[in-house]
Amino acid sequence: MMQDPAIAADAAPAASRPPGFVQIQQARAHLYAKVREFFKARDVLEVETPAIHHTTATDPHIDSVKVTCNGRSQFLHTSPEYAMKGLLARLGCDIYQLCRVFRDGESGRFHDVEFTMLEWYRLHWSYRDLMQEVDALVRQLLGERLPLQASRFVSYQEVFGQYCGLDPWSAGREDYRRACRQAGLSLPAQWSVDAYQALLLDHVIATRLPRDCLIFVHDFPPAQASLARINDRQRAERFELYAGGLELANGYQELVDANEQQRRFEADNRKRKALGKEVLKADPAFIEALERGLPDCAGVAVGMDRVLMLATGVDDIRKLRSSGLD
Amino acid sequence: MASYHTNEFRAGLKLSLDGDPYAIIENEFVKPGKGQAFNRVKLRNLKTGRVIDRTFKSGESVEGADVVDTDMQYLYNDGGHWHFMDPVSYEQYAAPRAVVGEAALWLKGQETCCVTLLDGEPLAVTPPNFVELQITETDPGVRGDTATGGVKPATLETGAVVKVPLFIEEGEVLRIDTRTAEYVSRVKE
Repeated sequence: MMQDPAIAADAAPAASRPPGFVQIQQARAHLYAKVREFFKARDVLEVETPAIHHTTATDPHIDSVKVTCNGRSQFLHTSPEYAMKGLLARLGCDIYQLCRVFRDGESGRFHDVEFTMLEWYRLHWSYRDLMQEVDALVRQLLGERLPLQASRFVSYQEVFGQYCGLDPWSAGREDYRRACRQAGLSLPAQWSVDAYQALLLDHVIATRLPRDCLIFVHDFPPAQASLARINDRQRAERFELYAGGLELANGYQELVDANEQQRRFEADNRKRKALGKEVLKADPAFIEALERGLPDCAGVAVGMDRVLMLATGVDDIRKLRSSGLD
Repeated sequence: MASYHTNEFRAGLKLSLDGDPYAIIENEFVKPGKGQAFNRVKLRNLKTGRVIDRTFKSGESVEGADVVDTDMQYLYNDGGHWHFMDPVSYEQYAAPRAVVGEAALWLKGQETCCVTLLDGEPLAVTPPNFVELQITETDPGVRGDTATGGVKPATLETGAVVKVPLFIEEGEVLRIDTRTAEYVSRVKE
């Protein structure tokens, strides 16, 4: 049943039969059991947070699903991040959650409007230590199905240098356009540097990274800090994990400064406005948690459906569904 | 002319780019977990047949092509042209080989196809999603082998060759998905 990871994300050869409905369900159950075993052994508490909220992620590039509940317009969570940080401030212990999350408009071979996220937080850990723990977990989840070489840890600056020949800390729009052209992408001239970076990372670099190992890309440009802390060297302390050409995880040294967080919310909303999107309120429970004092911590989210794709050789994330939307 | 939002993009949608009509062949949604989303689209120029790649930011809108899609019955071909009839107006249209393209692999007569017209001229022909065709040639079937997943080539009455499971016999009628050129099932007589 298992395929080479190098081809897992590409079209399956005609002669190989994709795993059936039953095998997919079994593989999913097996993965979740291993996740729970992993965290039990490490004394991380499993928690649950609501899926329906009055407020939602302000990230300008994430669209929430709106639902009407008790006569009010509400949102399905796009990630349990805010709610889990609220819990973290109250519980004061390491926590994890496995839950379905929802993102409107995301549909493709590697995207679905709903998917399972594994998210966890480690108090007083650095994001570098958390990368090691993600590595340990993902190796356990995939290791028995895929032969994985030693993991690699490379900075965002290094991968852009190596695969696109530019330095994100000094390159201008023209440099990005040239890198896109060299990669065979014809693009409009007026895009922002952020847009070129996102496309190059996701569609050029990710597909060229070696596929026989886990690759952690760390230290992002400040403009892509999202909810990560920015250090004195102007590096956002953030990492992403790539495997088999897919982005599997995204982690942060969590921003715990309430004032800085407020500024990022405002910046998100300015971008939302410019994009013609709804301006959103910040999650009050999250702001309150920050004001009360969120301890230093590192957190990460893993896309479990993509892990399941690699574990089963399924080439389209939507084939993992037992039923639902087309 | 209508315009289409990137989340309406799907194979077959006709768009106008730089003044030419294009049909989407493939639409791939690309998005980093945090960051701008894109649609990477492969399109065929309906005038020249050239295939190009374009990348759009998700959320953009693109003007639809000024073409008309009409369901027509396929009548016959004379080697040079494939002839179709509009069942409403009874008007007939002749599409040259280049316009019919791969659709010719699946047509034996009577099928209802989607014919794309630009200024009254056929630009493209899309066969039905599923067709039923008889096998004219394949290796003898392997009885009882329904589980190992092995496949063999089979030639259909239109000349198309598809991969089929080992237990399939010559003379059987198959249901084929024309979008993927894949065997779906046997058709019970």
